[in-house]
Amino acid sequence: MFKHYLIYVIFFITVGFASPTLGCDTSKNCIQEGEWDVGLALGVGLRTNPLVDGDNFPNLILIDIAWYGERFYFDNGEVGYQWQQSTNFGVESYLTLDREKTFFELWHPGNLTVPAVIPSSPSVDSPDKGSGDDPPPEDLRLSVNEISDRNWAINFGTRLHYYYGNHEISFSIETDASNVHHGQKANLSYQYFWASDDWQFILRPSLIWKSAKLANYYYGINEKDTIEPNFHYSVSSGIQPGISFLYTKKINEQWHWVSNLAFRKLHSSMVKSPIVEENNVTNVFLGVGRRF
Amino acid sequence: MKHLESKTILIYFFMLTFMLLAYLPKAWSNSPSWHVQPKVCIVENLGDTCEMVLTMHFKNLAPGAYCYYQGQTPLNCWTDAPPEKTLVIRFIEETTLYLKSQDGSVILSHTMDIKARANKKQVRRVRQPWSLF
Repeated sequence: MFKHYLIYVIFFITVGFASPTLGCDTSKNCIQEGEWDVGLALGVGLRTNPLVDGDNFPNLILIDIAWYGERFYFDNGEVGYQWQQSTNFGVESYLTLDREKTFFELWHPGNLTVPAVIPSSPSVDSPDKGSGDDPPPEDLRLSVNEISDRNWAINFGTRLHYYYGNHEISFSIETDASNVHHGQKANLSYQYFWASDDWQFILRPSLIWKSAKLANYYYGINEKDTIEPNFHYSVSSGIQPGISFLYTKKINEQWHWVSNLAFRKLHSSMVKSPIVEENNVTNVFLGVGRRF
Repeated sequence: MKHLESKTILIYFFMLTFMLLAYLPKAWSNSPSWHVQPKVCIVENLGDTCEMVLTMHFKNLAPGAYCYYQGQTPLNCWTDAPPEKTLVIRFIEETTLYLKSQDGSVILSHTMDIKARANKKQVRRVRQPWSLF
């Protein structure tokens, strides 16, 4: 753990030189410094859950809440400090909740349900007792309701931005700061931001890399989850490509349309886990929102 | 002889000074001037556009053709010389209003400032708004 922090410190010294924070014109993704910006949107939508017996999450309410000071900021659950924010370059460090847990927690019926996917196929008794590295046969699926709890993790990360006109390239790297999964996560994304007085459009393709420790903590199966060795499986690291669209259009001074679509493909080692039955997470929302 | 020349030069100097002092106030009082109001525009936030109606009172402006310029941008022209005129102006940062004659020479100028009520600035968010993931 100390090694990871040392890497971050060196990283800051290298790139995190102080510089004044510059302003932001309205053609960009701006917020009033020193004031809370709270947005609430009501609508219809869905976030799929790739886990076996994992309930899809209905997106009926979308909250957008942010506060930016001269250096510190809060942005939708992320607390950070901006080392630099200039016209073309930005660096910040932050603490953020690892959202991996949401597939296990939200709308999760817990231990009240009966054992779900008890394998009925003969493969349960096959001689290939789970070595942990080879994926279980595809018909071996284990309900998320039957495995041990996964904990929330808090990640510490640093993000770099390069801005050029309406384009932005960002790279972030996060490590577990809460001793939960001891893993890391990196995100390389490109963003195109297009806005006028009445509407804004954001297109954001990205690649997320998840380390083996992170992926295995949440999606790996071991003796804590089930004593049945056929289910035991270790998830390796992998890259998950994704893309998201955001379009908002002003209805009047207070209200505007909010439409949001996001898609992420899960890496193959994760999809082969007995608790994962879908190879992607899709997130859709369409509604009306207002800012307070 | 030398002493006399010095005395003569001194007399001429005092006479010249006296003539200038007698003439300049008259010349100044005859030069065109204007009084422009308001001088400052108050906006909610820095970067907001200010739109306001300016009222100009002219003094000693000779009849002729004149044009208003905001910086290098021509606004409108007129040919009479009324004592009072109005003009709608828009700007987002300090700007200068010029009155130019028909040949383009600057007759009068007036700089207008812009102040923000909130004295706060817009900063760039580092994350996408309404983010789903």
